[in-house]
Amino acid sequence: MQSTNLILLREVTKQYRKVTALDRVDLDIGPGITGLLGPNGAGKSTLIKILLGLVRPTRGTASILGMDLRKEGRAVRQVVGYVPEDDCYIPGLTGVEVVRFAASLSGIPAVEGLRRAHEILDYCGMKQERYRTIETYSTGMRQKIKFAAALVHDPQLLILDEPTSGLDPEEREALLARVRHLVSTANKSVLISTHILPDVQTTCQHVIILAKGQVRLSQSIDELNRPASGMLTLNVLGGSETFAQELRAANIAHQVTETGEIRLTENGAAVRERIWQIARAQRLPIEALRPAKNSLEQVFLSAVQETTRADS
Amino acid sequence: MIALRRILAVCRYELERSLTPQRIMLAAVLALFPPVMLGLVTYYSELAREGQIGAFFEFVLIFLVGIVCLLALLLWASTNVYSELEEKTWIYVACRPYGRVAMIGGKCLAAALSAFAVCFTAITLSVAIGARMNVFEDAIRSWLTLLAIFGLASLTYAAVFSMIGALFYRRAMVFSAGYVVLFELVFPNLPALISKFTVRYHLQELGLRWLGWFLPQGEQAYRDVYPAISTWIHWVALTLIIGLCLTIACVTVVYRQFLTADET
Repeated sequence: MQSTNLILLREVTKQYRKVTALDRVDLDIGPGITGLLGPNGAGKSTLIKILLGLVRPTRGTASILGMDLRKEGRAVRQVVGYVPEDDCYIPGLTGVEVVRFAASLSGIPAVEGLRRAHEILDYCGMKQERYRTIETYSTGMRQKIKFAAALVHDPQLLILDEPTSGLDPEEREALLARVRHLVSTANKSVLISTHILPDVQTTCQHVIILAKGQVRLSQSIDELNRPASGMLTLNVLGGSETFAQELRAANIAHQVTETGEIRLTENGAAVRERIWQIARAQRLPIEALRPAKNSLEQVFLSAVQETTRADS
Repeated sequence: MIALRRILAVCRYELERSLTPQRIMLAAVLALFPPVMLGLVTYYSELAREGQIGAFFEFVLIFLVGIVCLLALLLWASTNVYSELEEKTWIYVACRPYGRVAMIGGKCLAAALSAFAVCFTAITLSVAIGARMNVFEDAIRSWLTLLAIFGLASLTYAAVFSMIGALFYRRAMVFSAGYVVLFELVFPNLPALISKFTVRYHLQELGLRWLGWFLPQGEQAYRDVYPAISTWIHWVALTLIIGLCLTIACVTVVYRQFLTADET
């Protein structure tokens, strides 16, 4: 749980006929950059739509910056900027016109809207191409336009839906750097829905994992990166399977990951002593033996597997 | 004032993006249809020689331009609204603080202006041909009156079709066509009370009063079915229809949840 509430959800449930897209979701999202992770059908899009006031929750309450989403939808939309995943550009308009149009719909006067549009397009690295019609743009340029349109009314919270999908590594890094810069210098908060785990690992301060409409994890990245208590990671040079057999014979609980890494769930002196004995006996050199860390990928996979197991 | 600015912004962008070669071509075909018909009939038919060309002009200017106006709005008004609601651009408009109401107002206005531009061209060219043939007693007055009637018609039908586009956005064209058949072709021709609840009845009454043109059966026969009522009642009725349709459209887009296909 984070300290100051930017987004607050209590018992939020959303049902589409017989399908429960969100199931009693409780969330406190604070300032900074928050990553929203989840497999397909986890309920990420529904959660974002609820936050934008596009769909109403079947049950529960939701608020952004203390404003009730049901009662103060318009005021909420004034403080929220949204970058959709889909290409929702308006055909026939140039890049600068799209951003200016977004400014108009947010109640900004025409001249001020044009000034802001140019300012933000400069910030997004759009040069003369801003005067071309949007149909001629590459994916990266369209992403910049969507980003600029979301920012033009100076919202306090930005919601980005899969912002880096389809971007090349350079564009992806530039966009994430822009997000980090906005948060650190302009005091904005950002909610990023993505399935690209490294983006969350490198950019976010907090992560939420949704699966089957439920919150599986809501934790800060710092906490996630802390060593997992009582666990060890063991890397053996050639022969992790043999080593694992010996561990099984010695009744030491462990699991072998896909990369051949052995994770031990005990961390006592006796266990360590036994590991060294096995290594000596089997003549298998130990590359590393250290306290285990929970990588985001492991946490994500275990959350998803937990859901799958619960289903079956 | 701020709300009007937003509506005008949507209208401006809608007009800008709609200026495609295909749409301009279609508008030109619609606008030129009545004057071309008049021109052909004037020069090649017996009507001119028989001195009945005046009645034909009245028919073209009221009926044919009316059809053109309806067709233009059928193609553009509900389409503008439902295409926005169905397409991905809707989410972009809907998450803006005032996007939803401005979208309806702006698109309705853009459709009304587009249809009026078509009617304006058709009426201007037709009246010019009529003036050359000395059909009108006062050509300027007839031209201005027709422009007023079709301006009102464009706005009213744009509001009606925008409402249909917002209410039935998945089958907007079907419902719009259904509306035209029932409320513009069937009901107005029934000698019953329901005919007075149609837009066409009020526009027709205003046209008859201002222009003094009557159908071939004559004024008395018409008045037996539709007794004369005060002009301001027609004004109020049309204003109410515009207001009611736009309110329903706005309330629909503000409060309805628009779900994508995989969510329904």
